Amino acid sequence: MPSFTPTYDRKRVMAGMVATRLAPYSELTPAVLPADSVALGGVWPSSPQVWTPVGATQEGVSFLFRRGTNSLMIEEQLTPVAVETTEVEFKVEMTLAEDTFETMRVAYGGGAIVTQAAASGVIGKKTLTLSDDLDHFALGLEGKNTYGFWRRILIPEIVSIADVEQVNRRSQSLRLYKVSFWALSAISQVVFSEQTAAALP
Amino acid sequence: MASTGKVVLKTAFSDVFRVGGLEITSEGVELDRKTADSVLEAARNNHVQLHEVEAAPTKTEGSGS
Repeated sequence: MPSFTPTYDRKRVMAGMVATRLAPYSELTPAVLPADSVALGGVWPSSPQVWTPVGATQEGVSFLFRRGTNSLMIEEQLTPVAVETTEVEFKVEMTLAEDTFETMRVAYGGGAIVTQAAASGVIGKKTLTLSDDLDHFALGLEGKNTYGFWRRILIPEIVSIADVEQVNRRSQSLRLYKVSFWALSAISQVVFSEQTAAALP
Repeated sequence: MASTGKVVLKTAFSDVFRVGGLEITSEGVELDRKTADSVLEAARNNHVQLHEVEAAPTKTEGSGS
């Protein structure tokens, strides 16, 4: 009997990390992705909002997309006559591994860091003040696509809802901050884009 | 666009960086190149990431539409 192998393209099977960046959320001057001409790994814009990398993660970045549905049934048919969306959960989750105030600010939902630079006879000092309310951020992701170019995702508005249990051990584990970013933007406002070919001469 | 020789330094989010008599915020502070370099060095020494953007040129007489 002849063997059967479905058609496939090995080069489309991908692994690899993505870079995650956060920017302040602004309704009037929202954060934007880099220009299309910026190559993979290039500099992200500092205007109108500054993008900041979230830093190291323990096990990379995970996307969670869950569409809740309601099946509309009739007595005469065993399968639904329609399936309507009731809710969509779109989350980006990771465990941050850089033990800094910048990480804590993100993990704990928001805040501000005031740094006084060291001067003659005066120590340098950082003070983190957490927010009572959740800060809203924009979240940008960048990875390599199947064509070897950039793939970028922009979620215009997210909040960080964390359930952090930060463990401090002598040598058994890292100090880690598990974070979960929940998209607040309408799902149609999330931008997915990728480069497919280099510009022609 | 003509360079103004000035740059704007910004902090990320709503952070504040105080050095000498200066206070750098997320709104951005316009500085000359020499001052900006010393502020950036102080930021590095204090583990603060500042962002630099070129200052917008000021309108001069006869320019514009």
